[in-house]
This record gives sequence, C-alpha cells and structure tokens, in this order.
Amino acid sequence: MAEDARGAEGAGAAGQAGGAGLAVELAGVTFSYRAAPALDGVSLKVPRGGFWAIVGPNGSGKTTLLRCMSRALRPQAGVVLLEGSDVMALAARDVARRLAVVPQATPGEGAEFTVAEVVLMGRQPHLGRFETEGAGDWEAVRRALEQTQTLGLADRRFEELSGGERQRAVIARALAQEPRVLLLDEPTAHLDLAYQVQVLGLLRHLNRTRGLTVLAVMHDLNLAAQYFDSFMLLARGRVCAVGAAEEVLTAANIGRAYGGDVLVSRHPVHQRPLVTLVRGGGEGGGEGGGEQGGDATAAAPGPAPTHASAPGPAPAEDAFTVHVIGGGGAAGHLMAELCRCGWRVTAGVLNRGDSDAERAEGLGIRVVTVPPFTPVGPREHAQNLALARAADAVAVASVPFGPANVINLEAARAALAAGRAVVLVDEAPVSGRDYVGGAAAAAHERLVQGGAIVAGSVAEALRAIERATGGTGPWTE
Amino acid sequence: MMPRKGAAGDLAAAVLRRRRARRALIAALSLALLAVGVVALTVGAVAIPPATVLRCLFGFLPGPGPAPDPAQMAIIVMLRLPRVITGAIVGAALAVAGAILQALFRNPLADPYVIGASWGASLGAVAVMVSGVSVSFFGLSAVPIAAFLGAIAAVLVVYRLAREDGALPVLTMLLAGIAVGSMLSAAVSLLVYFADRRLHQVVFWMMGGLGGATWAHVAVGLPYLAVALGVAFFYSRELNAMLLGEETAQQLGVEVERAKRVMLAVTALLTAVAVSLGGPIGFVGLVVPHMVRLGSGADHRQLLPAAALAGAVLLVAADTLARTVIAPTELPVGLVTALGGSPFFIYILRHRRRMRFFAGRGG
Repeated sequence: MAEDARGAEGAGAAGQAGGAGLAVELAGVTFSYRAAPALDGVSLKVPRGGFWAIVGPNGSGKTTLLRCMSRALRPQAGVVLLEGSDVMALAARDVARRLAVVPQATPGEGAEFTVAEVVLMGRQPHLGRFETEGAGDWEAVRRALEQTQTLGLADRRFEELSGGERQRAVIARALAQEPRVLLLDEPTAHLDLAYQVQVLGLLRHLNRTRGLTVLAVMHDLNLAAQYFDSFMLLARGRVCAVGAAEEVLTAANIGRAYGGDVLVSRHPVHQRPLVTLVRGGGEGGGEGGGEQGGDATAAAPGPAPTHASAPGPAPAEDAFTVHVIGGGGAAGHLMAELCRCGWRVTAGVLNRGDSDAERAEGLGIRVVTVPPFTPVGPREHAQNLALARAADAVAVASVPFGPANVINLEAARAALAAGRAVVLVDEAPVSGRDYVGGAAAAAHERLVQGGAIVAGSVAEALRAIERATGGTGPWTE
Repeated sequence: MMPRKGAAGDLAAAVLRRRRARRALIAALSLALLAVGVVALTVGAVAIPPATVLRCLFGFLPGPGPAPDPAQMAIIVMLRLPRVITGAIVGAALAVAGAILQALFRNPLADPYVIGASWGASLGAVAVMVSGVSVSFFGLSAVPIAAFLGAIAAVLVVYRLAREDGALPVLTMLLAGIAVGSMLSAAVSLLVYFADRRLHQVVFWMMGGLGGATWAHVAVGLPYLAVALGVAFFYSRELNAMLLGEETAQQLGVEVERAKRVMLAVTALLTAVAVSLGGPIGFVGLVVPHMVRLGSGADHRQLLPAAALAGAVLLVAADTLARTVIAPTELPVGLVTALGGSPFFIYILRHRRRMRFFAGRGG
C-alpha cells in the first residue's frame, strides 16, 4: 500500500533490487531447539512496505521466527527469502545492509560504549575494513538519534541509560543501518506510554514515507491493533491466522491461540479491534473489565465486524445460563459482566449492527438476530422463547421498547411461567422507555407481579441472579 | 553536554573530540615508552648517563659530554637494547592478546592463557630443558622454539575440541582451554618432578624472564607482533560489535565465526611470541587492558594501540626493576609484574568510580 509513497529522502534506501515485490518471504520454515519444535512449517509473504505485527502467546515461536529471518538461526527445513534471495546464502554484511534487527533488550551488553558509539556501529555493514566513517555515515547516525529522540544521550555511556533510553538507542542503531526491512522484538516492552506511542508512530512514519518494511513482535494486542496494518498470529510454532487486524484479532482466534477468554470489541475512538481479557486460560477471574463503558461511542456507525460468529469464550460445561433481553446498546455492559463472571450467556432478539449485537458477537454469545430496523418475526420469537426457557435465568436490560421489540418481553413471561428466575435490570424507569403507549409498562408490571426481581443496576442484577440460581455463581467461592 | 539540535558535524565533532582525547592518551603512552626505554638503558651493573645513551642511540646529538666508549656502546647496543625491545614486544603482545580475548569471550577475567597457550608453551620449553637438547636455529636456542610450537599446538587442540558443527561457541572454547590447560600443567609438573639437575633452570623459566634476550629474539618476535597487531587493528570494529553479543554482531554485518577464528589465530600468535620470548608472564594480559580501558574507552580502535603501548611500558619498567632491585641478582620479571602490579590494580579498582566520573565529564 505504501509501496509507491516513498518520500524523496528515502530514494536511496528503497528502490533497486529487482521486481519480486516481496520484502520477506517465508516458506515452510521449521526450526527446533534440541528436541522441542519452535517453528513448524511457517509460511508468510510480506510485501514491500508492509507494516506487520507478529503476535502470539509466550513460547509460540515469535522470537525464533525473527531470528530465522535475520539469519541468526538456520532453519532445519524451509527457506527465508529476503528480497528474493535466500538469507542463508547471503553474507552477513549483505543481509545487514537490507535488514536491521532490534532485539529484546539485553542489559549489560556493550555497557561501556557511549550511545553515539553504539549507534555508529549501525554503519558497520556499509564500511569497508580499511574505511573510516565519512560525512554520510555521521548524517545517518545523527538522523537516527534525532528520530528516536536520543540525540541528547549521544555522549552518555550505555550502562547509564534507563531501560527505555536503551531501547530507543538500540532502535537508533538499527535505523542507522538504513535498512529496507526492520525487524523488532517487542520494541515497546520497556517503554512508558508516551514512548510506546512515539516509537510506534515513528515506525509507521518511516513505513509510510520511505516504504520501510516493518515486522514487529508485539505483546500488547491492543497497541498492535492500533498501529499495524497486517497481523500474523502464531500459536505453538504454527501460523494461526494471517491478515488485517479485524481478520486476525477475533475472539475465536485469540481464544484458540492464547487459551483464555477474551472479549473483542471496537475501540471507542479509532474503531480498531479492542481485546479485553475476560478470563485467563489457566485460572479464573479476569482483569481489566473496565473498558465496557463506551457503548454510546461504540454504537457510532463503523464498518461491520468482519469476524465470523465465534465459539469464543467457553464457560465451564456445567455453568448456569442467563438469557439476556437487550437491544439498543442497553445490554452491552450486562452481557460483558455476566461473561466475565463465568455465566453461560444467550441473548435475543437483537437487530444486527446494533451495538448489543456486536458486543454479543465479540463475546461469542449465542444470539437471535433480525436485520436492522426490522420487527421481530414469529421465527425469531420462537427461537428467543426457546432460549429463554432453556436458560436458568432471564435478565431484561433497560431496553427502550417499541412496536418492533416489545414482543421480547413475552420471552421473559414465558420463562417466568416455566419457573425460571427473571431479573429486570431497571437502570432507568420503564415508563421513560415505553414507546408503545403503556403496553411495555404493563407487561413489566405483570412480570413484577409474577415474581420477577427488580434490580436498579447491573451489579445488583448480578447478585440477584446469583441468589436466584442457588448461590452457585462464581462469587460464592 | 550535547546540544539538542545541530548538524551531523556537531555530533561527529563531539565523538571525534572524545577520540582525540584518547589519541592524546596514545601519544602520552608513546612518550612514556620512550622515557622508560631510555631509563632502562641507563641503569644496570654499569650506570650510563641518559645523554650518553641518547648519543649512542642516535649518534648525531651535538653538545658537550663524553663520547660513548666502545664498552658502553657494547653494553647498550648488544645487551640492554635487545632486552628492552624484547620486553616491549612481550608486553605489547600479552596486553593486546588479553584485550582481544576479553572482547571475544565478553569476559573480564579472560587473559592470554585461557586458550591454553601458556601451558603448551611451558610443556614445550620444559621438555626441551629437561631433555637437554641444545640445537639452535638462526641464533635462537631450542627453548623458545619449542615454547612457540607448544603454544600454537595447544591452541589448535583447544580449537578442535571447541568446534561444534562449523561454529565456535565461546563458552565451550573457554572450558576447553581450561581443561587442556590443566592437563598440560599436570604434564609439566610431571616433567619438573623428574628434572633434578635442571630444576633451577626450569623453575626460573616458568616464572618468566627476559634474561638472555638477543637481537635474534627481536628479529623473530617483531614481525609476528607487527602482523598480529595489524590484523587485530583492522578487526577493531568487529571486536566492538562482538561486545554487543555475537547475534547482534552478525546482524550488524559481522561474519562472526570468521572473526572468531581470525582473532583466535591472532591471539595464539601473540601469546606464542610472548611466551617463547619471555616465559609465562602473568598479570600483564589480564590487567593492562582493564587499566587502559579506563582511559581509552571500550572502542578497540583506541584500546588496542593503547594496550600495546601500556603493556610495553609496564613490562620494560618491570624488567628494569627486576634486574636492578637486588642487583647483581635478577628477579623473575613475572614476579615483579604480579607483586608490583596487583596493588596498583587494586588501587585503580577502588578509585574506578571517581575516574569514571572524570572520564564522563570530559567529552
């Protein structure tokens, strides 16, 4: 995409080296340390000017993959092509002129050098044995220092630097190489927020203006989602998914690769996928559930999610099921909280494209939907009734009721009749959201008289559901 | 402080200023070597005034003063001068070999003997001494030749042991060096045990000494030293990069395995020259690089020449002390370097922080 967008200043770095159009190509790369296979037949095509994040859980082979690409490891099978030539057949110097590596920070190495000396080492592949650095080399060093905002550190010893300063100095060293391909291993690992944004912004700038191909191993999926164009998800040494952020960062893919329950929604501001851990793979009790407040913003029109409906989060087989009646964004928080607490959740009937429907999809919830602005038909209603009866409890969110969806309250009544607990989550009084001339309020009243529990907030509703289902919810532990 | 903004020239200037300061160190060390050399030529059983020494060396110095008589001339030119130059060769070779190996192994405790050379040399030399062989080639007795060959052979064995499918892992090399070294040292002990009549000669050789250095030693040692130093100097940038770790060095374009083989060959040569000319002299190869690094910084382009000069200064000074302190008896020079150098090194170590501070402020 940024192929032809090279700025004038990058003319020297880009260009030449024949047509192929691929910066890096991996074909069936397989590598084992001793017995344990680290990479198992990994293939990937990275076009010139690609901006790639390599993600995956610990031990999935991300770093090994980078080391194979940089010729530090020789794959036992398969081949790594750098601009069309096999890296193992190239001299170290030829590789280093085209490709630079920012490794994970290793404290102590090169401790006695100054920052300027370390960055100057980036000119090594461009200098002959009997050559000394010339004006062009100094200019490259200065530019690299300036871009990483380390010019002020030039005269400091490497060992005196903080982790973040050291990381930026190492990035400067790689930039001084003036490579066409840049590999980075967790470039933001030791950086605080401001520098994370600065470093990734710089990489994107170099990518856009000079066509620098970037492949970075990223740990923070959300940070990666915010910046990178393309993703490769690795799990246990195999490629799990490749493509755009929306294609790769789905609840299903991430759940499969990481083994935990995650919620994938849209970031309220830039609409990129936002991954939230619901429940870790090993132990229960997720963290960071505090991002769900942005329903109103998330409902803003954006591209429809491209990920297929996902099996997604998998609560325990014997978990109690709660059926949620939602719509219009009113149930987003409720569904997320229920999932977070380990309930099995179903929902209906929702309009597709509605933020509740998107949220449900992100959570991997089984949901009955109708097309946008379409009333609930008899088929959907029947499905909804079935789900409500099958659940252990039904929760009715503070949904505005109109002619198209008031029928959903029937499902709650059916559940009540079947002896299920029904909780009315009245964050706002029902009279204020009745657009069917009192019919919704009346139905609500009937439910209350029939034994439905009224809760004033989501938290209260959760406690009520737990009590109603016999205190077997996750909070009883 | 660096200016926040500025042209590449400013940056280059700042780095070059630092380099220039380090070149001043090299100039100072060169002067020190000259001074120590002259002093070494004046003292001894017959004291010869410095002016006479200079006149004798350069021949054209005008001015008053006694002309050197042939006896003084002979003492200087035939006895003291080759000894001083041999001392400088040995000191420079050991210090540079130490500096290279510390970078190669990324280990501050590495010295020229970790690759097994010293014990190989000892075994060769002691074997010749015990067996009483007395052939000579080009004015050299069999002892230095055997020491040289022994050193090279030992390093080759270490190299073969450490090689693993085309690569030379430095840790394996370190361990192989230690293993081969202790095996060889046991063999030397065995020979020494049965040395009886020649015991004194053997023990004295093993303490290190420059007694009996001749022009033949200089003629043999100097070319090796020059070649090895030249090769090492043009690998300075590679050595710098290797200090960042082998993988990083390779990613910076260094052919790491080739660099390691070349550097191993260079250090083997340097150590073999040093040990065959001066016996196994300890301390210099370990400590001189550290002392020099405090002033020169880690960049091998400055470190290697500075280490060569400092090693030469130290060894010539130590040898001069060795042959004058309890004259007419000579002390083994290895004893002097260790006895005199260790406290000095400890002092530097203790005051390192403050010296760092000064080094950091200049710039």
